Amino acid sequence: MSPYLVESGKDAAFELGWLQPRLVSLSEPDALRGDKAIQRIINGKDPVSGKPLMRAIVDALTEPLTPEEKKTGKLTHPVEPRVLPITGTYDEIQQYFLDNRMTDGLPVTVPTEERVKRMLTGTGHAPDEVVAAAFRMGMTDNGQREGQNITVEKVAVIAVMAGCNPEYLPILLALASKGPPYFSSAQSFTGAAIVHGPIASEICMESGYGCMGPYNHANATIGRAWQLMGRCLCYAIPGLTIMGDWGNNLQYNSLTFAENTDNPMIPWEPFHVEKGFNAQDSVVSIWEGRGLRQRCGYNLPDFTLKVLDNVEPENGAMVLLTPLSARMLEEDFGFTTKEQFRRYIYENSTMTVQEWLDSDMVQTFAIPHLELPAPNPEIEKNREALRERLKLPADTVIKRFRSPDQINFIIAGEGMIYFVAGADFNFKSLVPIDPWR
Amino acid sequence: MKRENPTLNDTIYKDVLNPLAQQKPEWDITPLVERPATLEGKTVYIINQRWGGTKAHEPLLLTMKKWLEENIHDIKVVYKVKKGSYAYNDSGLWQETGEKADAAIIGVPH
Repeated sequence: MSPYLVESGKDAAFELGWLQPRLVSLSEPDALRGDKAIQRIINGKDPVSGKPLMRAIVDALTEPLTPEEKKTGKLTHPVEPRVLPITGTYDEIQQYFLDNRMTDGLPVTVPTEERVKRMLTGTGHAPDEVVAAAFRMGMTDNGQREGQNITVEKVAVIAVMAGCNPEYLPILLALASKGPPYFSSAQSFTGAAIVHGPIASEICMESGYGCMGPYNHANATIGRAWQLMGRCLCYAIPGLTIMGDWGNNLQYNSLTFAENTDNPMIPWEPFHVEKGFNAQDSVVSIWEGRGLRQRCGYNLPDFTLKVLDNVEPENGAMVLLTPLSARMLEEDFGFTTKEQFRRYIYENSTMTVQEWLDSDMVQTFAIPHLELPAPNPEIEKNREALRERLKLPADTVIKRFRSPDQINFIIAGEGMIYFVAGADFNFKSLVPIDPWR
Repeated sequence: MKRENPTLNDTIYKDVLNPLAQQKPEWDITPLVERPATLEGKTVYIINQRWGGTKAHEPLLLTMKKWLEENIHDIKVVYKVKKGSYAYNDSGLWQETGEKADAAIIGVPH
């Protein structure tokens, strides 16, 4: 590992029970580097011990264990009290929350007992009911920080901090039941939460003008609360448990808005209805990705392909349309159903085999997974197609998406103009909100 | 940076609830395994865990293999690529390493 992973490595080792791990660090990252860098690393020093790298490796493998390294016993995390051991002014409380890494850097509403009690009026569920048994940001079991037995009250505390109203709480409980908005990766992912069905208008969420901007109270605070769950419920700490090299500005409110279903120009059914829910069900869809690209103009089918041409291979896509864009696609371009437009994108969004091979996601996951037993026939069929792809010349043009199902449409915005945006967001799940009322 | 807000600071807040989740309260320390006194005459596994792809880390690991072979008498260095991505638990390889290797190096790219 490089110096940039040492603290994270120690933290993961601690979670696994290695009190004194023997970590040797390269002087700089080696992945995908050329000969010059490799020779510099091999002949360089281990920043942890200060020794020449190869000497440090040999020593780590041969030096006798110290008493501390032989130690057995127990490790512990501190017991988190229900009530914080602080009393103070507004400024003092804010400083305490900042110092203890409980915020996104912005001031929070102080979660007093009284305010949390008021927040809990937003649900019929008991404060001590467990919403999520485990809450963590990692993809593996290897040394991830994990919050345990997340209760309704714990979510309510965070809802207060984010500035939510009690009637937003069912949405937050639905989100909390599925975990944090994004996972820890060297890439800077963000979550997205899109609310569908009647609750959106009940709590005055915005699906029209500026719905993705910093204007609507419900949109802003629900998304912020979800993000704070990552910070507080599974200890998102940059450089330690969160390894996104840049972070992502969309994480501030987790790209949270309502789908526009009311505009009379919209020709297609809402997203949650397409996925099998009733129109009167309130549901939140959860997505994960990196960002959006926009185009504006008449030729919406072509622009859609253009805004999707940077979607990472193997990734799914969210196509964002205004109500007017959807209407024009139906009326002017003949896509009378979503399915027709989805098929058009699937057939016409392409890349070369080389672009696919150049993808970090393909190299890290798709190709290594070809060796593993497939969990079901559909995945095996997909893997067989990828094995065939590996035999093709690098300049062969192939489809960008594995199947039309990877392409999803969300309609949002007021509808005054013909915008389309392509987002490299995988659709992850739809969570019913009504059971959390 | 310290901030001052005279109007809000008229109120003293108490009974502030904790937003932090409880992490696992207690778990076992795993002591390190005993080391061989020397790598001479020993078998060392170098394991590529494939973050970024098999080739991403291979040049460094193979250069390390060469260095060990050139600098340590009678060492046997076995280069292994684990199955699946870094997220997959290749229990077969971990078992083989425990049975056949005197020491192991697992490279984590980045």
